Amino acid sequence: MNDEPDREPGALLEAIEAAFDYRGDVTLELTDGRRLVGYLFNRDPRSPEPFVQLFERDTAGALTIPYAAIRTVRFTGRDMAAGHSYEAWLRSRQAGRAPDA
Amino acid sequence: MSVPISQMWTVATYVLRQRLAGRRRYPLVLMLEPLFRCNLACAGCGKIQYPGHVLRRHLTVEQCLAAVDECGAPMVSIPGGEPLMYPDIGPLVSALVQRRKYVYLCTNAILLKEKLEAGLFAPSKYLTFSVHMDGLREEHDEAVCRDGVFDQAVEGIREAMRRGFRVTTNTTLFETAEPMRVRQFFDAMMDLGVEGMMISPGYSYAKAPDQEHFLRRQRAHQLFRAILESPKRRWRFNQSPLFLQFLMGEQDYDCTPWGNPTYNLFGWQRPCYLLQEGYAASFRELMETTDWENYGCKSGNERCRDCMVHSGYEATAVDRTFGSWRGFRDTVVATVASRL
Ligand code: SF4
Repeated sequence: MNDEPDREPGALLEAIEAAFDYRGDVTLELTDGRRLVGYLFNRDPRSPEPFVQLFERDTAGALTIPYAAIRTVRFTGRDMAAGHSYEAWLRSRQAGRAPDA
Repeated sequence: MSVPISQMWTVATYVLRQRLAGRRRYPLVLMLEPLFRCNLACAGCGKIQYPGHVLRRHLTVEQCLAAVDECGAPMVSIPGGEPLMYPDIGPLVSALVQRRKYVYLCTNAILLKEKLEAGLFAPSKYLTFSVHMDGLREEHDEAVCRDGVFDQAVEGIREAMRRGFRVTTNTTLFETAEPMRVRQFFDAMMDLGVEGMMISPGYSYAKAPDQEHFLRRQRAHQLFRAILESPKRRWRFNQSPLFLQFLMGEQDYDCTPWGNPTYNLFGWQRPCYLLQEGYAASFRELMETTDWENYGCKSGNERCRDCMVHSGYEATAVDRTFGSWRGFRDTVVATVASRL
């Protein structure tokens, strides 16, 4: 993702859908200038006021943020589903040693 | 079938009550995931791939109980993550047993012996340890990507049974399963003395590390026929015989995604235990605002096409069993004549 704002309605919707599917942290830049870093675990584009929900990396509770308050979505954390634990395990098994998972 | 009469009676009367009340959609088993953290990273599992700060979070006991009360299902399955890593697992299970919920605590059993020795649980007809066992030692350790886990699980199972707990096994089968080895595995579990076994094909989680070995529908029917066509008299299954017939291609069912609603850190998961299309804030919202017609193998939804998992289809089988005389008769015939 680049630093251009996702303000085209289609671009923002797409970015939010991609963030919802992403198994890593994202950074939301808000229209008021704030930046939120965390895991985006839900979104509802069909709600009367569409929103996303996010667990901020360093705080306990979940935040709800309206789509209208989001300027950009950036994929800043590691995608935790992109690992190769199965292949790695097979390789190490072939080498005669299994690592701790 | 090895489900105790009291549990069967609870489920039967519950289904009949829903039917009499004219409820078309009702929950049967709440899938309660108090955390996503796990001490394994299995090749076929797409449940735990989250950033560290998400894995460190968990539901409170109060959140769990509020979900159980709101949902009202007579059975609660606690998967995860690994529920024995949940710090409040003892108080949670004890509160569920007090509510007379039939609890299936789904565990890889690595920590089972330790938690039993710590006195976290008391034996009850309402509590079953459902131990993840994907086959004999070689197959299981390969499925969970770590050597030695099969032996740890067997040790945990022995300890739980010695202390008077109900123990079942829960087996997920993939493309690589060999029918003869699976039959030998069933024998081994019966030798071990577990109350019953549960089996299901794996689901092709988009986020699972191993994407190659999930079963497609026709292949799944072939495999389950080869495994179950002449079941041994001593095998006991802790699941509906009609579901086993469905796996063999002898029953034509569609999915009941609302039968096993899922509650976790993110809320009420739409539409089912496997797919994550969004989260509702309440059980009621989940039931009322999910487009249920978009799911199930007959819906045309690509992601449902090959799915045959028990969290989607066992509720259909149970509804048939207790919701009609024909279903009940089929179940009796499957139990007696087909020995399922
Ligand atoms: S068919 Fe499977 S993936 Fe589809 S809704 Fe049912 S349980 Fe979920």
